[in-house]
Amino acid sequence: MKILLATKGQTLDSAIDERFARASYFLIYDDKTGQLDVINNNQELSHGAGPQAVQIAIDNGASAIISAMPGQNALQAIRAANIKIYEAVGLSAKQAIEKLKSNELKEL
Amino acid sequence: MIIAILSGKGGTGKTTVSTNLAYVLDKKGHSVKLIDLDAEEPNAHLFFDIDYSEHIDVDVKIPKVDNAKCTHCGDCAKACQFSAIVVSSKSVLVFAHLCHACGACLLACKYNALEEIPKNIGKISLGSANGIDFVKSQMNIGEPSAVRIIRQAKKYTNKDKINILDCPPGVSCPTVESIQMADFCVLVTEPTPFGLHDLKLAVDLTRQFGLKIGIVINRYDNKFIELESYLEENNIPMLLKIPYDIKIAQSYSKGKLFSKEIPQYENMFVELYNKILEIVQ
Repeated sequence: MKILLATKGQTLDSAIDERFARASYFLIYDDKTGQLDVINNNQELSHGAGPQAVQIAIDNGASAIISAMPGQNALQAIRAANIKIYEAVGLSAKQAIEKLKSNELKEL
Repeated sequence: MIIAILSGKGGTGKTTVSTNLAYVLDKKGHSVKLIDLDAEEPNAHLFFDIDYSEHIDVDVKIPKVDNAKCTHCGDCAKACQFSAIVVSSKSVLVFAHLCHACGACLLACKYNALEEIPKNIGKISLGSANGIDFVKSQMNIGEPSAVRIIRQAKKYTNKDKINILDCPPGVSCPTVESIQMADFCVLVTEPTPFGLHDLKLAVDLTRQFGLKIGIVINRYDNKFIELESYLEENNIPMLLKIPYDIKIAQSYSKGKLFSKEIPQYENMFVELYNKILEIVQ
């Protein structure tokens, strides 16, 4: 399963960003292979950041997102694309993945 | 003739100049049309008793997906510059409030799976402002862009009249749309660093379109000399200084036209028009 993590930095030690769509980076983590892809989310959209972030998740084959609570547009797109979304603020990406595996993250 | 009144900075007095100029020119026997193009926050009508004769809906066309034809290829989402479409293998979502109705998604779709449906984004109201032909543009709350409404409202200019366009603030798309067909641009500013900063942006904008311009300084108090130095250095004509006078502020706060309330200020708008005529001809 591929997981998109909306983070402040480029490694699994980075903290989950307080914002989903305007997070600094998106980490695409494959929990089967351990492969990590880093997407620089340096976007300058005034509107539409939420839908764009969800499209990034879809295009990268993510079936789960770990982030802060997304906005209404993003949430609507996440639901339509049948992607699972988990809230994990205050954790590092690595901690969040561990908690997801042990079913300790809150699904939104 | 089309005279566009703009400013860069908001709150400098575009509507004050537009409404008073319209009132005075009409009073002096000119045939005047006042068009409020500030569709996001129109307020020229507040200074008149408007007798409306017609309201016209402004619709744009937004995409609607035909699920039977859609292959979920995602080309429409890639074409959209506003992230208004999200395509997954299971769904296509159109965010109507993000769509700018540019039609790029329809061009991008190879499967003819998108059709266009109308969406109302605002209206144009026609009427008479104490005898002056009046047009008001008004955008619905939450719409992303007033450009299409302004484009429609501009069609009501009349080449036999003096058309005064009360333009939106700023120097982005709505203002660009408002000024393109103008014979002359009046840039209203205030003698503050903020006014000067945004005036420079507005001057740059009008120069990019090769438009003739002149300046009105509102709330003039003879203190902020940087503004006048800038105008002199750049050979920008000064058309009018409206004094910093509490009587003008009081009149404005009651929704009155100060050129009507304070007769000594009537003639400044005749002079403003004469200076515009001189430059245009």
